[in-house]
Amino acid sequence: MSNELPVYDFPEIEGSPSQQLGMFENIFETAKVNGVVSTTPESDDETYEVKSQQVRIQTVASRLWLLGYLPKKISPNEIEKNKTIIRKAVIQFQQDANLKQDYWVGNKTWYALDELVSYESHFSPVHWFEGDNIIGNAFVAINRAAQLRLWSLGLMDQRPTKEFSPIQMNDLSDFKKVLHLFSIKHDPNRIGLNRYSLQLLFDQDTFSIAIGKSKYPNRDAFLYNVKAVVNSTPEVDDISKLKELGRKFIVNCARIELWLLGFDVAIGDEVSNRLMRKMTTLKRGRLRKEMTRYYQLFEEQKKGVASDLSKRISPKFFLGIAKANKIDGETNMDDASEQIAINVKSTKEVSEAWNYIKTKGMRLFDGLKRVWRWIKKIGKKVAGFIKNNIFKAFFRYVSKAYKIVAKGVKNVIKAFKVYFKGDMVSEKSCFEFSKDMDTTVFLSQNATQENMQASIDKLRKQSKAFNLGCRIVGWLFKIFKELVQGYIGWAKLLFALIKSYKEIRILYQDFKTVATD
Amino acid sequence: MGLKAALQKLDTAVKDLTSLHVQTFSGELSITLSSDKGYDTLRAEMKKAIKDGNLTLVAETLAQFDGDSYNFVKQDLSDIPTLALEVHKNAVEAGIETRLGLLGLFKGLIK
Repeated sequence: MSNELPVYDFPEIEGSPSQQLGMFENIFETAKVNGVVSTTPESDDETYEVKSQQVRIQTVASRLWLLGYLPKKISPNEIEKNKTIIRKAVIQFQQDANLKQDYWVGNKTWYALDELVSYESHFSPVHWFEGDNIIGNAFVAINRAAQLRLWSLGLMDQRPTKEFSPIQMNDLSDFKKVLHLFSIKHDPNRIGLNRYSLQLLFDQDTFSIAIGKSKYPNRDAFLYNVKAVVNSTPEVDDISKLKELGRKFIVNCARIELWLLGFDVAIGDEVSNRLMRKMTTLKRGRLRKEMTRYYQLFEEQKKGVASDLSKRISPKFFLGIAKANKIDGETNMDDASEQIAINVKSTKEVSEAWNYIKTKGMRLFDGLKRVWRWIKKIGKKVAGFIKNNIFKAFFRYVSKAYKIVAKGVKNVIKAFKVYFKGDMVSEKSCFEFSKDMDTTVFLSQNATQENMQASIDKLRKQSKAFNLGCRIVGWLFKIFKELVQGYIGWAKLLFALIKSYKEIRILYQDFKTVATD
Repeated sequence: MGLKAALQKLDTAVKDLTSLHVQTFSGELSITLSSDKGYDTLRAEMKKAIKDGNLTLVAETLAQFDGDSYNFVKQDLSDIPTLALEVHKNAVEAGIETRLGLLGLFKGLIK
C-alpha cells in the first residue's frame, strides 16, 4: 500500500453556485473513499474497506494484538491479506466486551478498545462495571486489558495471549507492592480485580507524579518506601528484590511517557538486570537517545546538558513530566488547531504528515492530551516540538473537522428534502412549505399546550440544524476556495479542514444538540 | 440526493427568498396521516376547511428583507389554542433562520 497521497484529479472549482458546491461536495466525498481522511465506518462492510479505512483498521488490529486476540502484530502492508482474521478477532472481542456482535467497528467498539488500551482514556463506568464489580459479559476483555497494563508496567511477565487465562489475586501482588513503594494513596483492602483497582492501575498520570516525588530530599535519586511494603506484606523479606521491582516499574513508566510524547521507544521491552540491580548509567541505546532528545526538545536543554541528564533515569525526569501532566489536558484542546496549522506550512509538509499518519496506527490515537499539555507549557514556541506530534495533532483535527462537516452536509440535505416535500406533520398541527420556503401553519383547535410545544420544537430543531449545517459547510467551502493559498491537491482540502476547525467547532456545539444522524 | 442536486432543485423552484410569508390557521381539523390518507388528501381537506370557514386565520406575517413588513393577529383569540401565536412566531423565526442558513452556505461564493 503506497504511502503517497492519492491522485487528485479534480478541476478548478468554477461555474454557478450549485455547480461549485457540487464540485466541492464531490471532492469532500472522494476524500473519504480514498482514505485521505479517517472516518468512522457506517457498516460492517465499510469497516474492512482498506482503501478508505486503512488507518483505523491498523489501529484496531494493533489493539487487538496487544489484547491477545491476534497471534501476531500485523504490519500496514499486511492489512489487506489479513482482513479475515482481523474480522474474526473483532467478533471475539465484541463477545468478550459486552458489545453487540456484528463485526462492525463503529463508535461503541472503537471506544471500548480505546478505553482498554489507551493510556489517556477513562473507563465508561456504565459499560464495564456494576458498582465496584466488573460486568459479567465484559469480564474477559477487562481481564486481558488489566494483564496488558500490568505487563507494560513491568508488573507481570507476559502480555495476554490467544489462550485466555484470567488474572489471579497473586498476579496483583507486584502492583500492590508498587503502590506502597511509591506511596500512592490507596486502600489496600480494596485491591482486587474491581473498578477501584482498575481505575488506579490505568491512571498513568498518578504513577508519574508519584515516582517524581519519590526522591531523597537533597539529591536526585529515588527513595523507595520499603517500610510501607513490609508493613503491609510481612512475608516480604528481600529488600533488594523490592527495589529491583521499583526500578523496573520506573524504567517502564519512563518508556510509556516517552512513547506517549511520540519518541521512538518500545513499551514492554525487557529491563536489563543491570538496571534493575542499580539505576546506573543508561547504556547507549534507544532509550538513552530518546531521553536526550526529550531533554532538548521539551525541557529546552542544550545538547551537552541533555546528554548528561539522560545518562540515568532520575526523579528529575518524572518531575518534569509530572509538572506538565498536572496541566489540564482537556480544556481548550481544540484551540491548539491554529498553532498546529501554523506548523504545517506547505503541500510538502502536509504530504509528510500524511505519510507519517499512514504508518503509525494506534499511536495516532494516544498521547494527544500530553501533547496539548506541552503546547500549553511551552507556549507558542512549538517550533522545537517534536515534528511527529505536530503530525499526530494535525491528523486528529483534520478528522474531527471532517466529521463535523460531513454531519453538516447530511443534515442540510435532510432538511432540503423536507422543504421540497412541502410538509411537516406533528400531532394536531402541520406546517406546509411553499417553493419559496414560505410557511403555512395549520393548528387543530383541540391542540394542547404539549402538542403546540412539540410542534414548535420539531420545527425549530429542523431550521436550526439546517442553519448550522449550512454555515458549517459554507465556512469550510469558503476557506477551501479563498483562504488556502499555496497548497495543491489533497493538501488543500486537508489544510482547509484544519484551518476551519476552530470556527466550525464553535458552531458544532449548538449543532450536535439539534442534528439527527 | 447530494448538495448539488438539492441546490439545483432550489434554483428552479424558488422565486423569491427576499421575503418571508407565514400564515397560521386554526379550527376544526383532524390531522392524522395514515397509509391511505397521504398529505395531499390532508392538504385538500385543509383548503376546503378554509373555504368553508372552518379554519380561520389566526396570524399572518409578511416580511420583506429590504424594509417593509406586515403583521396581522386575529382580534378574538378566545377559541384559539394557547400558544398558537407562539407557534406562529416560531414559524417566522424558523423561516428567517432557514434563509440565513442559505446565506451562510453561499458565503464562499459571494464576493
